[in-house]
Amino acid sequence: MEDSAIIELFFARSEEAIKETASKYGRMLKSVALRILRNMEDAEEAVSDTYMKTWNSIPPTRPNVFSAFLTKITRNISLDMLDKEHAEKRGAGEIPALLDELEECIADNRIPVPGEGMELREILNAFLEGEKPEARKIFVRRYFFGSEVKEIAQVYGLGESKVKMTLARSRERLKKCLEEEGVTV
Amino acid sequence: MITDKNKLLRAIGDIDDKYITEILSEDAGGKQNVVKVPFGQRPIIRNMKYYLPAAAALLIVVACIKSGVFSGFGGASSSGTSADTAAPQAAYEASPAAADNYCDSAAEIDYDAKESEGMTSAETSQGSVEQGSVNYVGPTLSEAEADMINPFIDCRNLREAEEIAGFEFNVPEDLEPDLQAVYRAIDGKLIEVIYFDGDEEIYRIRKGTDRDVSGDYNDYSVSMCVDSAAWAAELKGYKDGLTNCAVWTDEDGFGYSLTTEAAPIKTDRVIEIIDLLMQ
Repeated sequence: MEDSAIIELFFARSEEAIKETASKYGRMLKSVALRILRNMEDAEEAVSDTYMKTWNSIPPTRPNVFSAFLTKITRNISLDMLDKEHAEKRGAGEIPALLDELEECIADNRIPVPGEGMELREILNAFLEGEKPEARKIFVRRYFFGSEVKEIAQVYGLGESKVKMTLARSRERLKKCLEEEGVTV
Repeated sequence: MITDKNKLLRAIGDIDDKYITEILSEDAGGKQNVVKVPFGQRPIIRNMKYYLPAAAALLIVVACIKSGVFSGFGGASSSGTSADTAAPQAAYEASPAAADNYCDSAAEIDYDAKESEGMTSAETSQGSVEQGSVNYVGPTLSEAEADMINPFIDCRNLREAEEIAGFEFNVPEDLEPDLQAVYRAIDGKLIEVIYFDGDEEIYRIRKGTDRDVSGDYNDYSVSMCVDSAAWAAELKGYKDGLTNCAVWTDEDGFGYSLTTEAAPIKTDRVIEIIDLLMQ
């Protein structure tokens, strides 16, 4: 079923919307959650919560890109779940490593950002727009999807050291980008 | 105001949709292309260790021919000196030949890919519909890029791998009590268990929906068929009594394989493992 048709089902408050969403994107969303949570039960819970949140969001929201809309919700829910004690006990997958790496971008761990979150979003989008495609995709796979360095290296047929180097340079550019846009480190 | 790294990580979750669909589309495209060369990164990686020495050997031979080492058995010492000085130039001149050799090798890989194309295109035409409808606007993948996509999902245990693959794999928990097992799966297609001794991979076993799931395209010099009441396997290697690759199927049409990354395994042990897996 086309995404637009599924969205219409949500607007019509038909429960078929969730069924169709699960059928079309369930496995992909579970994969996104698994990368972050590294636990099947938690991942399933995150995906179920994604359907619920989507149900509550549409209407009024009408997503432009349904797959990205769902992916973002699953990612956020998965990160929320990591805050729960039981998830932390089971291990937080790649997230601690991601946080350590991202800390390089904010140096003293306190970045005053002018304006609200939307501005930071724009800075991040501008940074990604300026990245070369390979570096951008590696960055998004690592810091949005939470993929391991090893996995990214396999995906693009690169060595792990090359991926790490690419990420380090991207982080350095992001740091500069944040500073140039008025973010004081 | 961002006060910590957590907020930056959260903010990355709100990036433009096009950067997310860029990856989703890549993965969707990768599914289609990876099945074209089943489990296809390993053959290239594996064979590279043979192609590179072969290319180096070819360069040396060409350099020797050009310098006259093989032109006769007399005057060896002067020829040897000549070879030393001529080698860099000869190697440079020989590089197109080496390149041709590499292309031939690549062509072999491509041929293997085309062999399986008929089967996989039918599968992808069925399985890619949902992925194909991802609303993606952006650069398309080159074939080379797409072939590099890794479809494996790391799993914490066999149960997770089975769930992703959609079928069971009877791997005894005590199959290798002294080794560490790593579980991976390809959505709806394959389960893989890799056994490590520390950092060294000892062997990997696979079960999948294709008949030959080994992903091993090496040309082995020794091949034998082993039959039991429950299964029949082809065991391949370079020496009698030692196996590098075993391939077999079950009555439901699932394919199995056991492959070694480094040292071969004693054939008796391989047969024992197959027996345990097929119980």
